[in-house]
Amino acid sequence: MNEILRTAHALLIKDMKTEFRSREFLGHTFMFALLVIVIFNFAFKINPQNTPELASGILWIAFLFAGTLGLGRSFLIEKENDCIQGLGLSPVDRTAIFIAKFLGNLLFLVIIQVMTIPVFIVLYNLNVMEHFTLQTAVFLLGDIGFMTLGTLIAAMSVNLKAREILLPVLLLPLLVPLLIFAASATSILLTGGEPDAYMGRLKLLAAYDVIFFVVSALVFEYIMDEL
Amino acid sequence: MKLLEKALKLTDTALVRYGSLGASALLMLVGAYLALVWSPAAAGETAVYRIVYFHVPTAIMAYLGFFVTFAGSFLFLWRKDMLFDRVAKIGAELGVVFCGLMLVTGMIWGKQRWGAWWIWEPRLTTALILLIIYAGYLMLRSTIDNQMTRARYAAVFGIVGFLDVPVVHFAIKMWGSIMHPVVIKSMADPGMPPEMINTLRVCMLAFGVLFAVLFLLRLRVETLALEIAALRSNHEE
Repeated sequence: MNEILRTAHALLIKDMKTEFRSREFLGHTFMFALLVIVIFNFAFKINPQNTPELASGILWIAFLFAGTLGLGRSFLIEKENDCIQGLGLSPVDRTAIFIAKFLGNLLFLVIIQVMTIPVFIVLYNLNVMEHFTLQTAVFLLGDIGFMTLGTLIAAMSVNLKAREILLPVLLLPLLVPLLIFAASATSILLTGGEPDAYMGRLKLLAAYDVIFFVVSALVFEYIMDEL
Repeated sequence: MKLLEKALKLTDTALVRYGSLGASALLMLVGAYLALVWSPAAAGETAVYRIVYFHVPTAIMAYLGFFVTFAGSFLFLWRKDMLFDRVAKIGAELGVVFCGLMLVTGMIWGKQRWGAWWIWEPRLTTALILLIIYAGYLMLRSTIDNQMTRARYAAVFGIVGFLDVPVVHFAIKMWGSIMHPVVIKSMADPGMPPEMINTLRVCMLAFGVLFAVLFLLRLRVETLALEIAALRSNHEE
């Protein structure tokens, strides 16, 4: 186990270094998330009355779309100069590669959220982080589930001919339950709903994360062997 | 697996192929007669209720197809036998077809009863999401040329997708509930006349046989296609 974590750590540092040297992609994705939020304003005719109701949907859709963009890239950078073959040939546990990619994607999404949410708060004049700890818990648990399945499907789609379209087409239907749990939990916090209902959704999110993390980590080697 | 190979061997005989198709068609006709003519009118329902005799079996066959995909995917990763990959593929194909039929029959009924073709009701919505997931599965297969890669990717997606089924159903149920009629609450007290139950049984059998026949014939076609491809590549060498 220690061995796996050490390898995952090394891989994560490598990915972060390459990402940090260009930094462009993070900026582009942030712009995209921002655009989604701005466009929703025109699509829905947002006013102070309906903002609390619509906010969680807008935020989660912006994050799902921006996150999917980030996922598409996480394995694509390995294709350059056939890095993926080096990764596949190296004598490390496949689970370590999965964990490293998963953590990298998770970090990417969290950074996007940290940048986007303040702008959202200003533009929509609604403090979505009013219950800071509770809301952070929802975002983190939602992100973990999203990036678990996302990493698996992204690894699968990197070799496909139609990868740009297949990644979201394969991933989003699997994420429907996650979106329901997460968006409704966020919504409960914004509209002042029942604390019990909030806890229920949080537990469901956690269960979703555990189930799919275990399964994804187990089946990842079958994907990796074919990359 | 032995049983599957034996059944596949049987389909080499033309008589078995046409005979089973004929038998399935005959059963379907009997089922249609019972459902549309023989079965009594239901209290408080228009004639459109009779679609339930087709709606319920197609729903069961759709879920059966998706389960076959899951089982085939799992067995493929475990046993590394390409036969299971074909089984998984055919399960998804049949599942998508029956799921589509389930949605269409349900929508026709819904238009009468609810006054709308579509209602965002848990069971309908679940079926729609499943249709999209398994259509995605077939799309994934069609974009990969390498046989081994395709089999492995599809198996992984087949397993993850099937695990999502109960979660999707549960989540959507939580998200919003409008009444979907529960036709049979318990087999001990079905709450409808025996004629209706028996009609439903015959229709279930008819669709079950149709599923089995289609499954075997598709498996035969896929197996033959593989053999032809192998022969061709040998010949070119």
